[in-house]
Amino acid sequence: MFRATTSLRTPVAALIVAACWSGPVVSQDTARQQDFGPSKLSGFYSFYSGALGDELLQPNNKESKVRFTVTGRAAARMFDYMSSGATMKDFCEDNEIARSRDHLMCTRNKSTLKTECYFGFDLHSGKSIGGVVC
Amino acid sequence: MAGKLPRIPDGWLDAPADAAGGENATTPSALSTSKEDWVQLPQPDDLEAGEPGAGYYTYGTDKSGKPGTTANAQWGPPKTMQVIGAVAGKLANGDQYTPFGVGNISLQNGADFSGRYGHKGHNDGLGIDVRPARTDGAQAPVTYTDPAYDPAATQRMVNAFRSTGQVSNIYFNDPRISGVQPWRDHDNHLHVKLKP
Repeated sequence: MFRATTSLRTPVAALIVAACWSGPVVSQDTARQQDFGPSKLSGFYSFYSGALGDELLQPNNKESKVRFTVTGRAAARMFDYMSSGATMKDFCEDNEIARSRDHLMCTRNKSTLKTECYFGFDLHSGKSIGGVVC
Repeated sequence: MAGKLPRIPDGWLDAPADAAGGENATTPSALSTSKEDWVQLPQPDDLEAGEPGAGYYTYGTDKSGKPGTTANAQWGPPKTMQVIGAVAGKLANGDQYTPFGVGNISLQNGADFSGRYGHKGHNDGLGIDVRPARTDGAQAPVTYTDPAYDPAATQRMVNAFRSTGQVSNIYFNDPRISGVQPWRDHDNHLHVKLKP
């Protein structure tokens, strides 16, 4: 792309390239403006006791946890906002890439780009405990 | 503790011997991986009275989230059930008897497991959750740091799965166990990933 730009010989072509360059920037700004306001989100949540990956039991007075899956635009934007440094190999699914920080994990399908984010809390301690296992 | 070997439907173990756990096992080409051909893991309670054998028990969560009804989350291609049957057979002998708990595999037809239930790696019928072994033989959860955890028996389980030749990877965090790869949140179960 850089070589193509430097090889341009007419102002018109340069303007076209400039427009192309500024496109993603404008679009990102617009997305950030949209993100700044409150929006509804889609996804799933469930209360449980026990452990993800073992047996999920009904929540009770001694143990109650909640896990969330955020889907749709909210998940996509969360994934995008997590820096690329959070990207990791997703051992659970070969066709997905994951971004994770602490107990927060977002995954994106390489083909469909479907994105989901997972997190959860122990409701007795308030601690973040994650919301997905494999 | 004498368990029962869940009955494998007729014909499943008649596939090429390698598919059921030969030392030189290869992926059985005769077996389809189409989800239309998926089958449910035989449940121990389905055994007829007095049927001999020893092997696995089941645990986990079905798609309604109700405990103790894990059968709804134990679907997969016949190959998966063959592997479990072969492992149960290997672990059912004498002093090496190692009852093991089979948890989630997949929902019927590979329905979404991750979004609704936070369980990834369980949409293709090739991921099998297994509890680590316990010294007391109880059909209960255990982590590898618990006193009731049995590393020797867990190693036998891993070896039995590996010997089928059908295993791509096994995720589990006990550093004393060979043949496994550590991965987050795998202190309390082994995720056995079969080859496609």
